[in-house]
Amino acid sequence: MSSTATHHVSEEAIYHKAEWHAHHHHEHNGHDHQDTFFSKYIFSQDHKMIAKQFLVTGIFWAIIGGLMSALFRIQLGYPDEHFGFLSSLLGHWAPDGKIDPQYYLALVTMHGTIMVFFVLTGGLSGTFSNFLIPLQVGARDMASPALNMLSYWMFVLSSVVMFSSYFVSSGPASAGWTVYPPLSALPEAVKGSGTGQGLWLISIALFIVSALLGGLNYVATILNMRTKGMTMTRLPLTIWSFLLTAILGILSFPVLLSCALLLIFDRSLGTSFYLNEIYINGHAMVEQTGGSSILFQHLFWFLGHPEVYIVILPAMGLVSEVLAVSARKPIFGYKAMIGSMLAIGGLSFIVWAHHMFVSGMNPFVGSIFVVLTLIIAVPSAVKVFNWIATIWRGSIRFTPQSLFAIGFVSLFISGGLTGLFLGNSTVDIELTKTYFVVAHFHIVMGVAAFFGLFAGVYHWYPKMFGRYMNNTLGYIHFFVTFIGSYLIFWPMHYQGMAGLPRWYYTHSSYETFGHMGELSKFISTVAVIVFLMQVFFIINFFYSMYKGRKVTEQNPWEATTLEWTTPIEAPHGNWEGDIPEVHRWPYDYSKENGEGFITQTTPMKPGEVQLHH
Amino acid sequence: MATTATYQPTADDYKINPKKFALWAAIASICMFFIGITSAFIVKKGADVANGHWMFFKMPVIFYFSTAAIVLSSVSLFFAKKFFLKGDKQGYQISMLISSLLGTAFLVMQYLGWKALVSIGVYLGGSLSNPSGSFFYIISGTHALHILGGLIIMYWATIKAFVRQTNVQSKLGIELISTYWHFVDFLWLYLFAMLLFF
Repeated sequence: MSSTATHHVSEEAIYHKAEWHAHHHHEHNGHDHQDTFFSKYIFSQDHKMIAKQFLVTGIFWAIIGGLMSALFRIQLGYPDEHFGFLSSLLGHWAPDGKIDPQYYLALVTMHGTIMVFFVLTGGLSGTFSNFLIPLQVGARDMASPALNMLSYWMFVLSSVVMFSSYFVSSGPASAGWTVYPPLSALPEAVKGSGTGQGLWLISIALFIVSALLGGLNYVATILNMRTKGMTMTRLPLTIWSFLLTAILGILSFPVLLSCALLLIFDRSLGTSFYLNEIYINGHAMVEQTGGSSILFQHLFWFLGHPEVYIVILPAMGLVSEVLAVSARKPIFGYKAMIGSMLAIGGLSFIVWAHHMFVSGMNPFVGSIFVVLTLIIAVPSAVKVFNWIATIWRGSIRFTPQSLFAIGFVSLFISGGLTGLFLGNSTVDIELTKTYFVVAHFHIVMGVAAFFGLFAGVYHWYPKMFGRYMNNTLGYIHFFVTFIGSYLIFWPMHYQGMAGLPRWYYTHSSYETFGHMGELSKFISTVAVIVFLMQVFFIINFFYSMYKGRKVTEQNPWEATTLEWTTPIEAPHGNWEGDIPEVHRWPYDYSKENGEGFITQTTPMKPGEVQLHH
Repeated sequence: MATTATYQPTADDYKINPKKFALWAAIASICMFFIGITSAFIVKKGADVANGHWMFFKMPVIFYFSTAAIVLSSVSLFFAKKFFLKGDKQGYQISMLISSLLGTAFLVMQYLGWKALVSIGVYLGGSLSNPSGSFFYIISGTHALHILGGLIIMYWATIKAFVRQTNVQSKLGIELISTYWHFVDFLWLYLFAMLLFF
């Protein structure tokens, strides 16, 4: 592939090469080899830098979102106490050290919104799709580095709009992260449905644009820019999970956009898609008639359900990779893993109404959604079986990332099992809107996705920053978070089965729930401790960036995938010479010949049979 | 970093240009937006016709003309691409200009159509509005935004056609523009049929 071979090269390739050259023109030009601070750290088009930007922004949002949960757990655990620091932190939203009931709703809403969209979509998928796709498929960068940069800056813009809603006088959005109208449409219903909700809708619209720009790039890069020999069945499972995540996003986020658009019109322009003859205190609040709030729920959950897989699929991919590397064994059932992800992705589009069993839907329709929902247990069980079989009798290296990956599997099982209860409409009617639901989705997609994120960060940190994170701090972080998560969410199942409702500001004023006060106090205490203990991660993350042990080997975890063939400090363009060619699948660990692992770039030996489960 | 100069993907590496592919993915995404909104339309109409809430009205005739304009602009863009590939600079310039003007005419006629709707008492919002009218405005309005985006690129390409030398080698731009423009044209035909017949 020398430059004389230009006449063989397709016109697209010339185009792409020309673009690459134009981009790096100043570097060939001589005297100034350094990027400026702005082009390197701020308006970078290098996918690796954009990934780090997503990660740091995600960490910022995780701290905010986590803090929200700590604050409202203080209210739930200690409903009769007053804390001076709440007043100093929240000002007039916590007079006399007690959170205002309206602001409590705002905290719950913003916690959900931030965690689902900004941390576990932007922070998780944004970080690792950007970082790993070009590195693991063998590409210089994304299909469109400029759109990729734009995707990050739309995310920032969306973040700024969302963050600004904390500072409007009527407070941030308070109608829950699902923003059901009419609650979200009328400031008379809850204060947060005024300006705060308006900003929420604008922010989410911007977020959708960011997610779409990112997703288009991810899909285009994976399908079209793989290096020579990198067939679809030689892709690491991380890439498969990012591909399906991006496809789910491309197909479901636009529906959320149309859903939000109609809500914006209802709120601001007096249309009546969702609103119908609403009276508050005997006064007609809206003139509109004929709207249907159920319509909103259908449109919302058509995104909302794929969204939970947008959150969990990347975590599954990261965990699969980390488990195989740590256990020094090939991933068990590689093709079954791909198949189960395809099945989960496909099913995710046809189960949305299981969020709406109590919306008055026809029980016959409900039973169809029950069946479809329960079928998801099959591919999920396949994945769990394969993860366990992968680490079974492996020579596991108990690094922090492998612990988090194993923790993910544990959480996914625990949270998945309660999904079987909720997926049955008859049981769901009893359990819906209780803490059982809160416990279920926090374990299976909240904490589990966080564990996938942590596993990914500990594993790829050396590639990102050229230094290691501290293992001791990592172990403390893991055990506190793992045990703490179970202590927080396990008791919630019992509270939910006993009927404790979600969203309530205080439970102590109801005699029925009075005896749960101590349990709530316990949950709240652990929640605050686990939140504070995340400082071990934050310190480790930022301290190691500058003072961590330096990476001296190109392939510190002895992994097979392509990202470890790049220089320790990989330049923009990733490989200094030609892009390596791929000759085998990514999970050639513990071969009989005693080599331990064989990288994807190693050619097959004569007579060697490709190991593929 | 200067060593990145050795990078030369071969034709095998990229079966389809990644940017073309990204456009197709974007088209899938736009489709989902309109599928979402039109399925809401169908569901809502079904329920409202049953309970007598739905307001029926006759579509102003100007929307037929705007539909004709957008179809003709696609036809002219089809020829623009042919001229471009043949290297016929003048033909390319004129057909690009015609396409852009017809696209503009479409937008103007959509606007006149909305004014005609107001004059027959079909409103976007407010106490006199009905979901049937609101849907009409929002479906045609969000489509018009997609046309506007395409039109900006069309004008940019038209200006480029007049001031710069065209290079048959770099046909990527015209290919991307025609794919998108034909798509938003077909999209309108679908939406038009939906609003007219369903």
